[in-house]
Amino acid sequence: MSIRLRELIRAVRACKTAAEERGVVAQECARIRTAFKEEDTEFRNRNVAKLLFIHMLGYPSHFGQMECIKLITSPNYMDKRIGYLGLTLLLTDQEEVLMLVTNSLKVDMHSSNMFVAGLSLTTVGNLATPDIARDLMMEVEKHLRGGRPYLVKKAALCCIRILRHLPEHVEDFMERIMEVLKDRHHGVLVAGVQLITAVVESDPKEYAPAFASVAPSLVKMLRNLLSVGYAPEHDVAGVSDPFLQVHILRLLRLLGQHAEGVTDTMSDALAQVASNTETAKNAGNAILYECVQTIMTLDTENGLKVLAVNILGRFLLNRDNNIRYVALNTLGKVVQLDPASVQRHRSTIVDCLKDPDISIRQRALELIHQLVNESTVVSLTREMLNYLVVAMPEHKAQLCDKITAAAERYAPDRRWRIETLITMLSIAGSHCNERITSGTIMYIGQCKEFHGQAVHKLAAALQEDMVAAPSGLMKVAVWCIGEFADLLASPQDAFPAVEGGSAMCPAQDAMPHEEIIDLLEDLLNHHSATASSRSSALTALAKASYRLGEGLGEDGKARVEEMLEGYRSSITLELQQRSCEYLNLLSPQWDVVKKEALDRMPVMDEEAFRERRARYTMGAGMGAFDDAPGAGDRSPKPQASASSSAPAAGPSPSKNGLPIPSCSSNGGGDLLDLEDIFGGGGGSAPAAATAAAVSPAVAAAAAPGAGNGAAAAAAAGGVDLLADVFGGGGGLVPSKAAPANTAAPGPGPVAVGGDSDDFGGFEVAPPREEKMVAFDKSGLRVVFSPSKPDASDPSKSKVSIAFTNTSDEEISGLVFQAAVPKSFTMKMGALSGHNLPPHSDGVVSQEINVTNAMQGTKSLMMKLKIQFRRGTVNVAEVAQVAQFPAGF
Amino acid sequence: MINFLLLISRQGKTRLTKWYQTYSAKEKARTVREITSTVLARALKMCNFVEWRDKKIVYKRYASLFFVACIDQDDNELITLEKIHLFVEVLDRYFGNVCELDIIFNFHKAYYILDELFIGGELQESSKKEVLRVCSQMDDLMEEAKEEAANGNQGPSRRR
Repeated sequence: MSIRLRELIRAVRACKTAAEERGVVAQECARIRTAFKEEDTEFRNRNVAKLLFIHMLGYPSHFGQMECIKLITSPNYMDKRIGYLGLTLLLTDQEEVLMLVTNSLKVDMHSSNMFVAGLSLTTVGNLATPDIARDLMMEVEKHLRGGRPYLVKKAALCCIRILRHLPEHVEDFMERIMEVLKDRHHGVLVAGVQLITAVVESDPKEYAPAFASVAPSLVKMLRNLLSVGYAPEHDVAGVSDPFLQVHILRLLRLLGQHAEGVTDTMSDALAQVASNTETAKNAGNAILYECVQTIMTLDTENGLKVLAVNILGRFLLNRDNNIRYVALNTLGKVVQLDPASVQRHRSTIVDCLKDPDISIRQRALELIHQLVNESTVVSLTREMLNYLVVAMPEHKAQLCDKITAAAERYAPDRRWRIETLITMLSIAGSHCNERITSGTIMYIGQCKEFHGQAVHKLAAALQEDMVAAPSGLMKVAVWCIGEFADLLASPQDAFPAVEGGSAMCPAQDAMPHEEIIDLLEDLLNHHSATASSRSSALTALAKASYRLGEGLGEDGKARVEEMLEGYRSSITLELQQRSCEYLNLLSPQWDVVKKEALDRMPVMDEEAFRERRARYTMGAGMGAFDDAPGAGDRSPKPQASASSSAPAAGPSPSKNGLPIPSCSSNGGGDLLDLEDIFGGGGGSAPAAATAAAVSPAVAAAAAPGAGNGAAAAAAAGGVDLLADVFGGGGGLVPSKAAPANTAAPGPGPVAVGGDSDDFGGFEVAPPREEKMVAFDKSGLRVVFSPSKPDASDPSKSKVSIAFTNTSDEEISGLVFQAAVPKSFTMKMGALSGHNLPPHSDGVVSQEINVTNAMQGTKSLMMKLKIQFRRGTVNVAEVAQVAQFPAGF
Repeated sequence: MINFLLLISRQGKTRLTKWYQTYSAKEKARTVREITSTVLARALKMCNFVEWRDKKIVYKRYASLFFVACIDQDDNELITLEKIHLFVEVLDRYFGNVCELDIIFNFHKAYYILDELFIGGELQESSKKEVLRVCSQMDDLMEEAKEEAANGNQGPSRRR
């Protein structure tokens, strides 16, 4: 028994819960399925209709597809109609089943009944696949010339879909399409205009000239519409057929843009539309909106353009939000062509930023961003900053980018730019990406004369609301406080206002030393602090304490040490290491090197930085950019090779730690990717070299000095949790570390810049690990660090290999092959990279595991084949390595 | 062109969907969900346009129903509002003071009317009168077909 559609709808609507509804639907679906299976023709129509309703509720309905196709083949109009409706609702043009209806569509298109043919045309227009389009093209073309307006308009819209699928057939339809515009029926005209628009849009260069000849008749049509007076059939709010007018204006724009340009009659018609259209209602505004776009796009005379811009100005002041939206939207397109006319409305546009409607605000923001130039940057940036306060969180990042870009491009003076950036960071610093924060730091570094003001401002911004301070602000502030603590502790002179730029800058009082330390303490203990922000804060603390010097007093010094001490046993390697190093560095015995180690960062060369960053992001040497704690020691720094003093006394665990201290003792390593500074600006190399030279000494010296020196040395050696092992194990490590102290800063026995990098290096302080230069030619140095990983099995050896580029050119396409005598078995790891930047050290590494089957009688030898490309030169070398230490 | 057209009730129920571009069933469901929540959340006085992905949503509320059309970036938003209004007016005249219930119970008729106004997302007819005339002619044809079917059916009529 089949219930009626109406009853089903009622039953569904009566359901109180979703579960109940599901039950009703499931039951009905089952009934419908059964009916379909039993080939029930009597109620097929009704069942499909019910299924369509169920489909709309969101339940599966694919089983009705075949029934729709069956209904379409029925001669009964009622069945046909529901069948076609089902087809368009249940199917997409991706389904194969559609092929089955091609024939029915063809038959129906030939039907003498206008409405049956109409159904078929509608379906083709909504759903045709390329195959159907090809098969029915001729039928549609026939209807296009058929004469019955009802079918001509449908056929015209059908053509849009057909020609979209079969662009090669446009030529065949061309003549027919032009004829369509001779009709008087508005439905036919509007369909025809849209058809031509679609065809021209598909390939303006090809078809705009071909259809250029219709332009005069379009203009004529437009004029007729304007002069016709009241036509009840097509009147909308006092405007005669706005739909047709809009579509004509749009087509005229396309044709004028890509073909003949603007004729006098066209200009006249546009002027007539622009000045005579009723603006009280939406319909009239829709026409004006289209007309303005056409005028502004086309090469019309200036008078007309002024008229158009004035219309937009009026739109902008309209109370209706829709109209304001389209005005902003159009001004956004106009601004490139005619910036001056848009600038006039600047204040109105700025007001739109305060609108409660997000659509309007977004449009206004886009527009404002485009309006920024040398003369407006100050006021518009202020507006953008104001908006930043209230903007939706998801838009803040984008807005920050825009402000940064505007400040970078048009800043009237340096101080203004710094102030803007700082203000932006304090409003939305947590939405700023790394690029903005590091860019700000870089820029502040460059502006020597404003260091004091900047650091005062940052400190004040932090103090204002420490709890809610955004991360970006903290990042920049911590760096600046570390670098310029002495300036923060001294009063700053006022700066006069700059005309058209920064406002007056009041004099700043000196900040008491305790407060500076308080600030850093707050930053260190901030609720949102991360390991990386803490490590920056530790560095800042060390630097600040050095800069404040004696002024800090004994109490202050003790506090700093206490704070550093707190991280001495941190489980985060980076923090522990920094803590240990700085504690030592601040002790009086290192006064000699302190100045150089904690000196101000050299000013960064922005160009070199960018270049380098671009190269790195493309190249393989990404390791150097990671500031994750572990990555520090995996990628020995470029400057390490510059310091020939590298690891003191070979077998000391401290040498593993070399890369880290060299980086962190320079401060702010995490903030700015020190590698870039040193690698990029050659000039700063000396400072780096000293810093690098200092660090191992510090680390080594720590060993005998402090009570738990062993732990300190181990910690500096890049081991955190393992520190306990060393501390407990006692005996071995201190004795190893001791010679390190004596050998300290001088060149060690193996003067190799690179380092054995990997973690394998400090598996329980490997007692045997020596370095040997296996190859050093043509700008490439290969250093072997052979070791015995398994103390119980002497036949197994591991060779860690570090590649160093000693030349001025980049090495790329590195291929490294090794061979061993037959009595050995060898397992080679993968090369960690194939490119080495100039003077880079250990960016690429490799590991080889060798097992000696004749341990004790034969010793290890290796034959190497190395190929690479240095600059533009291809290099291929062969080398033999036989000088392995005894026991390998 | 119009990419798709939705009728959404104020309670967030979908009353009519018409897709003029190809979307998978999953995409359709997600789109309806996304748009429903966006449109329903907007305050009365805000403008009728929302930027959505790389398209624009033009919507208008009539009594308890939202009429939502998705158009391309460079389409005329204002005339789209007029097109929506044209559809609403035809519905209104056809049903005689249309309400949401009319569209719920006669959703198929709403689709038929829509098919007389738009094909492939483009406007087919700008005259209300013309659309209404065609619709009533088709309804007559339906009546004839119904009688025909009833006469052709020999068994006891369960239809009415």
